[in-house]
Order: sequence, then structure tokens, then C-alpha cells
Amino acid sequence: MTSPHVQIDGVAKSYGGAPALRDAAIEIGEGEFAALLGPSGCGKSTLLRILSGLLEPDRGRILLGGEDITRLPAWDRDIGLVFQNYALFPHMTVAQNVGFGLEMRRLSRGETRTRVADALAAVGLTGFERRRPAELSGGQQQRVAIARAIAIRPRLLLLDEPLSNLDAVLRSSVRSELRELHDRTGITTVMVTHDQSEALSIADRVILMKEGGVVQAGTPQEIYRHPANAFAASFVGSPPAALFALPPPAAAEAAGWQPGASSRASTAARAAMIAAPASAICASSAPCQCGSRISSFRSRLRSRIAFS
Amino acid sequence: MLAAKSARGLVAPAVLLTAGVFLAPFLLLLAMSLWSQPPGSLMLDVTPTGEHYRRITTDSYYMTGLARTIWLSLATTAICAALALPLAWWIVRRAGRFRGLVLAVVLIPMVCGALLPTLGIVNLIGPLGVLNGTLKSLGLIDRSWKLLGTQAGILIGLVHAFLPLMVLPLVAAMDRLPRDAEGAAMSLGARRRAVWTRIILPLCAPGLLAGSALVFCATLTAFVTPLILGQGKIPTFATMAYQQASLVLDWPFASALAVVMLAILAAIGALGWAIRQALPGAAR
Amino acid sequence: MKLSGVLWALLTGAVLLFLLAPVAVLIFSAFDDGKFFRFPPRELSLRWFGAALDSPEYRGALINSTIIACVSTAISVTAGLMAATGLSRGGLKSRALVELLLLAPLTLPLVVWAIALLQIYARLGISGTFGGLVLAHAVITLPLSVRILLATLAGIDPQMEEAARSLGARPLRAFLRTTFPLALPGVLTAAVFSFLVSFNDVVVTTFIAGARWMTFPVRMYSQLRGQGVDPITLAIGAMIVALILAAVIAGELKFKWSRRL
Repeated sequence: MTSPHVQIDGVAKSYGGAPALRDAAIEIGEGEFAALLGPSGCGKSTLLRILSGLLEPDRGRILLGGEDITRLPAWDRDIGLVFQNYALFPHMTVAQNVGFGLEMRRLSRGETRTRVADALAAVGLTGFERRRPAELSGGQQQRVAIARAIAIRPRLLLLDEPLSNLDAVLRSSVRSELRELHDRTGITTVMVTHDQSEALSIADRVILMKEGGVVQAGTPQEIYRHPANAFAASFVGSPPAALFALPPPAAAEAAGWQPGASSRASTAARAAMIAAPASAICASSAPCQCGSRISSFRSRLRSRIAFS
Repeated sequence: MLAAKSARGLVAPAVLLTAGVFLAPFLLLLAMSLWSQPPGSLMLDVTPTGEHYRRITTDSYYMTGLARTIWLSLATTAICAALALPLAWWIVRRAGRFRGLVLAVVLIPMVCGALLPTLGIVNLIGPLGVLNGTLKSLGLIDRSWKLLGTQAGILIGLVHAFLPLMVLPLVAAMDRLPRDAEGAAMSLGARRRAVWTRIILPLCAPGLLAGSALVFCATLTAFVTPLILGQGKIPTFATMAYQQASLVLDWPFASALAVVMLAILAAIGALGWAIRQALPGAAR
Repeated sequence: MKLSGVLWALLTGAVLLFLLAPVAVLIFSAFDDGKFFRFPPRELSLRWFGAALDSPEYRGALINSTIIACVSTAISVTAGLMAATGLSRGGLKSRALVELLLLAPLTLPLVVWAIALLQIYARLGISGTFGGLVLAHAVITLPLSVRILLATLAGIDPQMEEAARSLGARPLRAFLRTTFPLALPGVLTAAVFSFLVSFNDVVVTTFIAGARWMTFPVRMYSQLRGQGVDPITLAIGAMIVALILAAVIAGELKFKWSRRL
């Protein structure tokens, strides 16, 4: 495997003693569209700010294209960032907003104009150059924010909850547009979201986080079909997986074990049965080999649900 | 919601007080500045005359006084802005739970009136005061640094008195800065300096403008601080007007001086309004 | 990063020190035993505080100032609360204009006004009278009250009063039982600031005060212009400033005054 484009290596950050990130380790390949998924407070936004350079980690390393950028200030990173509330500059026109990063890079006026026009065209806002942010709708403001971030031709594009401030109708169209934009530009993209359907539908790879650590990383298929544990199963899937905590004898029986026949009976005390929409798995606190029995459990489970 | 009739009844006393006792005298002042008072008499001659204005504009005493006053006002405004910007930024971004306490300290010159802090400043910068005493006992100077009775001394007093007028609007403006605007600028490649000159200062410009107008106008019309810290040696326009009204008792002439001050303030107000309109994002 | 933080803190500290220094020096210098303050002082004593409390002249001026400040504060807060209620709950068409009018004295120069007032008072024969002083002080404190109370009422839901009325309370009673208790911190803030402005005013009062109703700041001002700093003045000034400081800091911590200005 070639070395990943983005490598997050044991990054930790705590706020006044409360850990927000615990030694997170993540790799993202070149040109990938990755989604950081997790409930609020899982550390995904902290990780995004650390990637962008607006926040310094307590320890750990960030590598971008093999180069250690951990101590590099935000303005030297060439990482585009689209904020959840867009953070457009209210005193500048759309063109000035989009051209801001180019101005900071001291590009010539002609070059700036071309790149601003290209970026605005990419988000479908040609002709809006002279408007001010306050004169735009929420969806248009977001497009300006995206154009501003891609105009600098970033090595990495970060999107913070890009769909959360949009109404339901816009959300699905923006979702596909974001994907198209990514496919067209080929910019490695990391999106933060708390919405599993968003993550599963857009991203090439989903990184599921909880309490400052990575729970599972993989393709949407992998995450959906084979959740790594009870949390993953309950967070991913629509509708969310049903979770059954079973008392030891019932757990054993449900799994088809003979009472006393399994040396893992004590383990089963902490076992939970998970019926995800597509699969049922046994998430026990110790490894077990009951996978083969799951399918028979599935049919039994169905009848149980029917009865209760 | 109240009925319009009772709402008008509630507002009436305040409106009457303000319009009748506060605004009406300004109009009378214009008329009174055209009256005259024959020398050696306290009787008024109400035949309109522009004599006072001619005297103000031709007598170099008043014109140098006016120039000095405008220079002091500009300097006070500039120093206040330079001190208030870092202080306001610190209050908004770093003070945290000390914010209230620091703001209370900022309010001190406002709540103590013009006189009491000035009294403290006399003892602070006087020839035997704390500043000179400290410098002397440290061996840094052997003769007192003369501040009392100089423009520098007046500037210290004016900046102290009117700094809150600059800090409060700036704090309000910085509180309203859009979240993440600095972060966005940095991620686009702006260094700290560019973040300040391109994002923070332009967005705080209305607050800075409001504060500057307040400080400039307050300084232009201040007479207590210049009289005491200047020890009467440095006449400003307002101290001249005060002396004419209170000591010389030439009220028509004092009125004319007051009208000139009012005219300058009106010009400043109009200028400020024009700048405000020209600021980007004024439509908001 | 860390270094710039330290620099900011140092700069801020210096500005705060500058704001505090005159007041601190004033309080400190009142403890100097000598007739003329010098730093470092030869000896510290409380004797000027004793002399200040014994001086009938100063006591009279302080009492005058207190009475005038109390009466004008009562007028200012009452008229201010009425006006703020009418403006924020009345739906008046001319609201913006009335607000502009009521807040105008905050931006118009008081000296200019005082020079005009002096002449009008002289004509009416009320210069140096209690009524004349109270009227002037009520007018200069009114805009502060209006501003503070408008901000206070804006934060209180008018529907509460309507709910009280729907439950059978007459309008005044509904106001006194619902809005007024919630507005009380704002009313108190307006009262304290009105009192301070009136009590400390020298700009306007020096033009219209007379021998009969001499206020403390005007006394002190003429003393300062005439004979220079007098240790008794210092002692009284120190006591007043210490009181104001304590009140403002306590008020800021309890009522968040700075948010209402």
C-alpha cells in the first residue's frame, strides 16, 4: 500500500483536563472522500480543527503527503476549510471572499480573477461576484464558502457538518453536488457529520468515532454490514439496530448453546445480541465463535419479536 | 400591548423634560449668541449682531485656542483608540470569568465623574507626585518631570477620562464579530497581521468610528480636566467659553463660543455619518 | 502563540493600571500626614479623615449633593421607567423619533447646554435654587435611565403581563406583579448610575449652583482652581471614590451592569 495522503498519528487533545481526543489514529488515502462520523462530543470537530491548524494537539503527529505539518500554522497549510456556519466575511463581496486566499498568496490580479470565476462556476454561482453575503440565501452562502475553500487549490478540503444548516429539500441535492464536486476536482476531502445516512451515502470511507477515539473505519458497506461492536451497530443503520441485552441463560439459549457445554458461559453474561437491519451479530465482551449460529438465531429472533 | 393613548401618556413626562429643558435652550442659544452686552453693564442689547463671531474668527487668541483644542482632541482620540483596541480584544477573547470585573474597572472614570480622578492625576503627575517620586527614588531622574500645567498632563487626564467611551463600543463591536471569521481567514492563508488588517479591524470599524466620535466630542467640550491639569495656563476652547460664562459674565459672547463648539460637533457628526455610509457592509 | 498571549496580557494590564492609578493615588494620598502630598510620604496618618468629618462646610456640601442626587434620581428613574414602558410596550409609530429625542442628551455637549441654561435660569430667577438644580440634574440623568431601562424591558416578555391581565389583574397591578420585579435589577442599575452622575456632576452644576445650594463637586472644583489640592478634599474624595468603587464592582458582579450600558 502506498503511504496515505493524510496520516493522523496518535493525536490527543484535552480541554481543561477533559479529553476530547484520545490518541486517534486515522489514515486517509489520496483523492478519498472520508467522513468523520459520530455523536456530538465524540471529538470529530476537534480533530477537524487540529487538521486545519486552528488548534494544536497535545501530542501526536499529523502528516500530509508525507510531510509533518503538526506544528505548521494554519496559514501555511493549504488546507481548505468550510465552516458549519460558513464564516463568510460580511464586509466583502462574494468575489472578494473567494479571492481572499489568492490575495494572501499574492497571486496576480488576472490569475485571481480567473480562479475566482472558475471556483464560482464550480459551485454554480457565476454572476454573483458583486453580491454581499447578507444578500444570499443559506444555500448560496455555503456555495460561496466552498468556492472560497477550493479556490486556493487545497491539498485537503475539510467540511464541517456541511448539510446541517440546510433545509430537507436542499440537503439531498447538496449531498450529491458535494460528491460530484469531489469527483470532478479530485481533492481529498474530509467531512464531519453526526448523521450516519449522510456519511454512508457520500463517503468512500467512514471513520466512526466515539468519546475521542476511532471505533471503526471502513467503507460504508463494511460499517453497515459488519459493525464492529454494539455502539457501531446502534449508531449506523436505518432504522438503528435493535439491541438486546440478554440474561446469561437466555443469551446462551438464544445462541444455541447447551447450558454448561460452553466454557464461555461466564462471558455470555455480558453478551448482547444485536439485530441490525441487514445482519445479526453477537457482540460479546470476549471473542466467541458463535457466528455460525447467528443465522439460526435470526429466524428465532424474528419469531420472538412477532410474539412480544 | 398598551393602548396608544396610555403609551403616549407614559412617554409624555420624559419627552417634555427633554424637549423643554434640554433641547429648547440650544435654540435659544443661537439667538442669544447674536445679542450683545455693552461693556461695564449687565444689561442686554437684543439687536442682532454678528460681532461675537467676527471677534472669534479674527482674534488669534481664540483661533490658536481652537487649533490647540482640535489637536488635543485628535491626539486624545488616537491614544484612546490605540489603548482601547488591545484592551477590548482582551476583554472579549481572553478575560473569561474576569470580564465583568475588568469592565467594572473600565467604567471607573465614567462613574467617578470628571473631578475625583483628576484630583488623583494631580497627585500622580505633580512635581512631588507618585510618578516623579518613584522615578527620583529609583535614581532615573534628578529633576521633576514637568507634566502638570503642560499639554502632556492634559492629554493624560483626557485619555483617562474618555477611554471608556472608546472601550465600550469596541467591546460591543468585537462581541458581534462573526464566529470563525478569523479561523476562516487563517485557513485561507492569512497571517495574524492580515487577519487584523483585513478581517478584525474592518469589521470593528463601526465601533471604532462610534468610539472616536464620542471621544473627540467629549474632549472638544471638556473644560474641567484642561483647567485643572493645565493649571489655567493652557486655554482650550471650552475653558474659554467657561471663563466667559462663569467669570467674565459676558453671556452673549460665551453663547457664541458655545455655538462654534456646537457647529464643530455637528460637522464631526456629519463626517462620521458619511464615513459610516461609505464603510463596506453599511447596508446591514 | 504563548508569547503573544503574554504580550497581550501585559499590554492590557498596563492599560488597566492606567485606569486604576488615579483613583488608587487619590485614596493613597489621603493617608499622607503632610499638608501637601508628596511621594514617598514622610508619615501616614488618618488625621485628614477626622478633619474632613469635622468640617461643617464640607458636610453641608455633601448633604446638599446627596439630597439633590436623591430627588433627581427619583424623577429620572420614574420618568425613565414610564417612558421605557411606553416605548417598548406601546407600539408607537413615532418610537424611533422619540427614542432619538430622549437619548439626545447623551451625545450633545453638556457645557454648551449649561451656558444656555445659565442665562435662562437667570432670567427666570431660579439660578442657584434647589428646584433649578434638581430640574437640571433630572434632565441630564434621564437619558441614562431611559437607555438602561429600554435594554432591560427588551429582555422581558410582554406576554407575561398580558397573562396576568387575563387572570384578572388590572393593568397597573399586572405590571407591578410581573414586569416590575423582573425589571428590578435594571431599575436599580438606572438608579445607581443616575445618582452617581448627579452626585458627581460639576460640568453643568458649576454654572447654576449658588451659595445656598453648593454641591460638593462644585466646592471642590473652585477650591482646586483657587488654592490647589487641599488634604481635606483629598480625604473626602478618597472616601467617595472607595464607596463608588465598592458599589460598582459589587454591582457588576451581581447585576452585570456593563451589559446594560
